[in-house]
Amino acid sequence: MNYVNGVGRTSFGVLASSPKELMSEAINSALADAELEASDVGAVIVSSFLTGVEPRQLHLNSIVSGILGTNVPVIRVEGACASGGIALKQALLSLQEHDNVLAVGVEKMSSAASEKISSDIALAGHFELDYKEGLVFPAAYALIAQQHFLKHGSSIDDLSLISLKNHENANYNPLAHFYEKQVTLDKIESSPIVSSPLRLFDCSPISDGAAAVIVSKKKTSRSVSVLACEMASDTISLSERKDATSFKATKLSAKKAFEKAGLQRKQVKHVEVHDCFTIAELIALEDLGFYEAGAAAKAVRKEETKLNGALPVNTDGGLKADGHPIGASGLAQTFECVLQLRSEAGKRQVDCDYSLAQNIGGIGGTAVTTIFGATK
Amino acid sequence: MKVIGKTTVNVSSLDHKAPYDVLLLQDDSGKLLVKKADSNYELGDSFGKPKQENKPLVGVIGSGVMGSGIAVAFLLNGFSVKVNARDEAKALGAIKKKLLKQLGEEKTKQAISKLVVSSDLKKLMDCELIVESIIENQKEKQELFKQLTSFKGVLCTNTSSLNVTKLSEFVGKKENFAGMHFFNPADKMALVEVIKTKNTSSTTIEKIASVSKMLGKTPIIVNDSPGFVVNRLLMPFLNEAILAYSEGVASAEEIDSAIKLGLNHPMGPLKLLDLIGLDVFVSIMNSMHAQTKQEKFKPALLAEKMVSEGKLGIKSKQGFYSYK
Repeated sequence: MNYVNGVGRTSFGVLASSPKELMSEAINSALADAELEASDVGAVIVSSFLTGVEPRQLHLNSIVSGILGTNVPVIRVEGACASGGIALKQALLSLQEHDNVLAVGVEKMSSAASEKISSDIALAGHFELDYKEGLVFPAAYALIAQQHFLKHGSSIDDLSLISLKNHENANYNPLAHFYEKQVTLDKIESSPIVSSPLRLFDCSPISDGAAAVIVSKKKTSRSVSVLACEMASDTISLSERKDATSFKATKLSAKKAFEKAGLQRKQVKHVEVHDCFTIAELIALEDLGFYEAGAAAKAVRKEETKLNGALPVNTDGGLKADGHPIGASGLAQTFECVLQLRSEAGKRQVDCDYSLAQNIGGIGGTAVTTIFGATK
Repeated sequence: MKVIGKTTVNVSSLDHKAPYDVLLLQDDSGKLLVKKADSNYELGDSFGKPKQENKPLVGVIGSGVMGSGIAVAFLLNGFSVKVNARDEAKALGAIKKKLLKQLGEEKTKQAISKLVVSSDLKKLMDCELIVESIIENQKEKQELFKQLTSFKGVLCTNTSSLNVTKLSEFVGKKENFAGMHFFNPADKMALVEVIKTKNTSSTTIEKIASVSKMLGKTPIIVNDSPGFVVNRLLMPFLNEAILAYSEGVASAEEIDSAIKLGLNHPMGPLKLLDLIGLDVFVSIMNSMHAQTKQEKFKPALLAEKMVSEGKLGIKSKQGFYSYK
């Protein structure tokens, strides 16, 4: 069995710090959480998506070496918005060679002009098939939302409820991008259309931040066990797909993860899903198998996914309201799962023995599903 | 392929200026395809066969800066246009030059194929809507309208300073007549002032507003009054800038800089006066003053002095700034 023995992160939002400063803060807090020294870390997996174009920093391997003050192997991974999940997967695999492996993810995007960052994020899509046709990510998810509405009778009102719930949760998360920002249903519904039918408050924000996770072979008193961490891939353009209302990679990774963990859906009582857009949360809940295709909207309306519901989803506020520093987002999900399973989530604490995190890249071109278990 | 999805994207990226539509298409085997839309599609349409928007055949009389600009605005938006001009070749050249700048060789050819330029006014009689944009002169416009009394469509004047109601005395059907005031450059500026007289019918106003929207512009409906909205506010503002300059409050550069930075105007008032032409400014002010008898519309002495000295602005190479 592998364990998460330490987690740390920065607050998410528009931050002045550099990628190095952000990673440094997250790493030091994860080390302190794990009660380890930098010298105890045998290897590092570092994840980022856009630091090469914004703020123009690559070779994060060496930056991490500078932070740790050691000369251990450092590998950088990139899989768009799933970069953090991939880093966790790689860190777990690296435990074959090392006792403690650090996964750290970072992004620093807020200083870029909006037109540039739209094009930068579109690097995660298919350049020929998507970007040349104007299909930036809000547009892709808008088309997906429209297809979901038409096929399953879900509506923009359901998406607004998801946004509202995630903003409510973020108000219990002092590190969230939208912490202490009152976002009402009226504010959500009157926000401008970004790409019809999606409004501004259906979209995750451009956030800076970093998150770090230390995985180990040895169990400690504060360990959280990793029951499964499974990954799958798929084509990235809608022009290469037949179904625009569900993501095959999520389905496959979830199926493998549940099999490996030996768990039933109903045993998992806390879920962090990749809500880069509100429609993605709806689809994730269906693809992960918590609800039948088309049935998640009803659960949202019945408030099942709220903090006090049967299946609390995105208790930290999700990508929507906790923030979406792309390379760090997957690891921030781990951070939240660990806090929940150690009963350290404060006002947003829910009752759960198992937590699941689903992290995807693009419109499900890469998916990582991880199931964690409490050890107390 | 069938259009099964459509989104209007309101955020720009480096290569795609918002707003634009992206379509989700599906073929018979169920395979999906994403396409940026080049015209208006609805769900269920067959891709490649866009619905024809019913764009009326329009006419433009006059081919000066405004006339040719208005013709270009129509052509850029897929209208078929008939232009009446004394010098056909010159008018065609002016329009083509403006189109080339925006469209390039091939698309200009396509647009020009929808253009007819003729010195014969009768050729415009089958138009649904005509915009008159000849010289700002009551008598010239009167004479023109007398030749159009048998015209059955909507007749608009692009006048900026003449009284639209007074002009309406000389048209065939007063209910079909209104002001349609474009701003320079007509193919870029997003506003159209639609000026209604007491006799203008609501159908006429709706027609002009709808055509304005087809041009991607926002129409505002204005009751006929001197200067309408924009010039009524702009002209005294420009006049005040001249007064401030002549009283030595600050240099031309400083006045322009103050307005640009303090009010976020794209261009300072004195630079704008040079662009409009001091003679045009004085003539608009005089016209508004004659109609209202209000002091605020009396042109500053310096403006009249500059006109008499031939300092008209960019066109005479000397105004508040030198363009030599």
